[in-house]
Amino acid sequence: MKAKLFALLAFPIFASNLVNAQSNSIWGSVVYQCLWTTAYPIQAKGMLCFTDTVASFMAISEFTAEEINLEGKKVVDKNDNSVIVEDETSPGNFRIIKRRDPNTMRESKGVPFNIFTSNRKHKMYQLVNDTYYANKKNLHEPYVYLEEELGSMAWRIEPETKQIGQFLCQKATCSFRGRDYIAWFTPEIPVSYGPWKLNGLPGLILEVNDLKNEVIFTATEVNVGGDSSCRPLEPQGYPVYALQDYVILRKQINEEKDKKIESKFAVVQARLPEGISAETKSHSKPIGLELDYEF
Amino acid sequence: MKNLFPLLLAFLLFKAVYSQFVVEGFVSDIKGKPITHAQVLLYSGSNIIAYAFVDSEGMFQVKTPQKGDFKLECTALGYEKAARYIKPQTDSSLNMPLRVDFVLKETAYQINEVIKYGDKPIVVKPDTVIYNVKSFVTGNERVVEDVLKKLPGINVDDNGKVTFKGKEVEKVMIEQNDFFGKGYKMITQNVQANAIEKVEAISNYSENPLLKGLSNFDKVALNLRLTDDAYKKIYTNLELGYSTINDHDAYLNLMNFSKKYSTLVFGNSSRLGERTYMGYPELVSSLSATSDDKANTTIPDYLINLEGFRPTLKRQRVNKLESNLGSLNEAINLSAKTKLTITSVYNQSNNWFTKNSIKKISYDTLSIVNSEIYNFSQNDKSALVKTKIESTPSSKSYIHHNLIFSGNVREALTQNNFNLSFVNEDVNAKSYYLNTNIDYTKKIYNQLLFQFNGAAYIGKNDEDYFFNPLPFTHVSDIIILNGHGSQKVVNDYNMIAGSSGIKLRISKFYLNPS
Repeated sequence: MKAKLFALLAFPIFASNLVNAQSNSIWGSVVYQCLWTTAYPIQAKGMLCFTDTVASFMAISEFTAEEINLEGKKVVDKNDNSVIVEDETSPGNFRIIKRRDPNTMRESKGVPFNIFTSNRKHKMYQLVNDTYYANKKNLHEPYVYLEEELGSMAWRIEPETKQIGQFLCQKATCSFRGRDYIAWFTPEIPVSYGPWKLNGLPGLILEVNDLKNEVIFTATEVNVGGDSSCRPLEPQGYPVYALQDYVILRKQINEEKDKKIESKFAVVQARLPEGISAETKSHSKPIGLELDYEF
Repeated sequence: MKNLFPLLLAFLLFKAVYSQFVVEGFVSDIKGKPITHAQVLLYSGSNIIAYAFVDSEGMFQVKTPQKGDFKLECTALGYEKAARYIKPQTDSSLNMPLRVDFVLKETAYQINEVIKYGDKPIVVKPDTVIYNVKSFVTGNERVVEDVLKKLPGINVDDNGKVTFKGKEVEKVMIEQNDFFGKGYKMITQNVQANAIEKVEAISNYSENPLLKGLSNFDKVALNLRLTDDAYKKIYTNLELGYSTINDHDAYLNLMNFSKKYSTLVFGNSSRLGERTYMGYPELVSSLSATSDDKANTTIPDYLINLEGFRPTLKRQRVNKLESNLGSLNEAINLSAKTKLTITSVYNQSNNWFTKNSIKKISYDTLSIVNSEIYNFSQNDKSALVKTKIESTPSSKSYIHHNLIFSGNVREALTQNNFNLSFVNEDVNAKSYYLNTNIDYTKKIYNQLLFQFNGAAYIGKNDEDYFFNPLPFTHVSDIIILNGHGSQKVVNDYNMIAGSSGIKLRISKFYLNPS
């Protein structure tokens, strides 16, 4: 009930935001080739849509994109198979219906990314799909928006420059949530956005990789102004929680799970024949792009 | 001195605060309305040294500890860029923030750019991940293993074990030619890094094409794709190293691939002992491993092993290893349906270890000194030949035949001198091993398979052990020993086995839809 109330409260805030965003006529869109390796490499197409004050970033798996093309943008039954379809009213934006990881055929969490950045409110929202969390919070649907403050990235600008397409890019480095990133941004496009959650530089980020090469984003198409029809997708329809609360609760859930497994291990340990010892350990580690949090 | 440090720190901090150069100002459009999404960049020459974003009132503040001539640039989406050159004139101006206001003109803005890149660093396909090696290497890689370590998703541990998706890879192929099977370390530690252009990581791998889709295969394998050079001409790579203490290090790599013949030759001679080399039983066991895990056997190692004592340091740190290795491998496509692979390895290694220790224990007036000199040397020579025939006579049957022969000669010696009493141990050992196995699969109809496996091996380990001198000289008053001890161990083993069965797929629950 509380959660529903939350959703209702969240709605008018976003609606007003939408009105603000449309006051400026310059829109831009960037297509990124995304690649991240947690257990194995996942390749995706990312789309950043921005105006001067807001931006949204989405990534969908390339397989899914191909599947959709094959099926002629047909929406598969919502209760069974999941796909993302391109929103016909706003090309370049993807509507999530539901999706599965092509490698494991399991529904994956946190992927695709759906991130909304608002410079005016100095906030960032990420849509996540987490059944455990939803159960804890008694939500009907597993989707929630996680809210966090902007400006947690302390960028260091390096003297190196590089030409990417027609843009002269400057190097910047930053350590963000357990990974060290190297970004190439161009002051020629004066917006502070970038792929995924990376932002806060005095220019659009065109290329990013982390030191381990496990996360790579490279821009392949840049469109600013003109008749770019891409529109930032406002967060709506799902409840909003603070990222910090989510991370803490998620940690608790994982610890509970670990404890449960440990207690089962303890039973096994107790039943082992004399003289035989087995090492058992259960430890849930965060995988994905964010490995460590500042709180 | 200790007291001086905080003072110095305070002075430095004060200096840093004092010498900060601050610029602030207001950004507006022509009508005087603040532009809240503008940003201000401070350049020194062509380098950005500081930047700031305009707040909701249109104000900005940029700080820098640097001195000199600056360019202040103000940009905003939808507005023309404006720049101002500023020069802090006197020292007193450093204290006061410099005021610079910008008025930006609106402008039409249009950029349409498609950025072309070369090959993508990673291409993900349903069962294969293709790594473009160039995107990950830094240039200091020497062998394939060094490259694999840099690819995300692939891990190599200290023993050279390669894992992908958390599973050990089944084999590392070169251009689809499988020379060493589970003994892939021979490839990853010997083939030169710069020959490789792409690495393909294959999941749901099955050697037997008929089993694909019928069993739930979760095996993974790697395939190395070479540069064009290996196709057009003979790829050659020779590395030589020599140090002032007579250590040398030489690697040779020759490769040529064509539709019919594929040749891989490598050799190395090293006195550095840096590489973990694959010894006799390990290499043979891994080469005789078949795709069917149940039929795999580990061949017996020598029973007498002198390598007793090693300090708990990294093996490479305490070892003196002389190794010479040569390998000639050929894959021939006899016909479109049959492939013959011949693998041969000759390995000679000389392993040394010396320990020299003196321990002195003193208690009151009592003092004991123990001195120990321990020498170990082991010389191994082994040769191995493997032939493999794979054939798919029709689309419904598959034959696989392996034949392996290997021989090994070992001479090992330890000398122990403990407080000037000597003990020598000596082992002379030789062994041979012959293994053959055959695998036949026939598809009866779509989801029903008949399979036959046959395997036979014969081998012998022959070891002679000498111990000199024996610590005791008499067994009784009558029997006097001559001071030598010896032992002979002969281990003969042979096996013949066969199995046949049928495989039927009932449910497609586990199947990958691709």
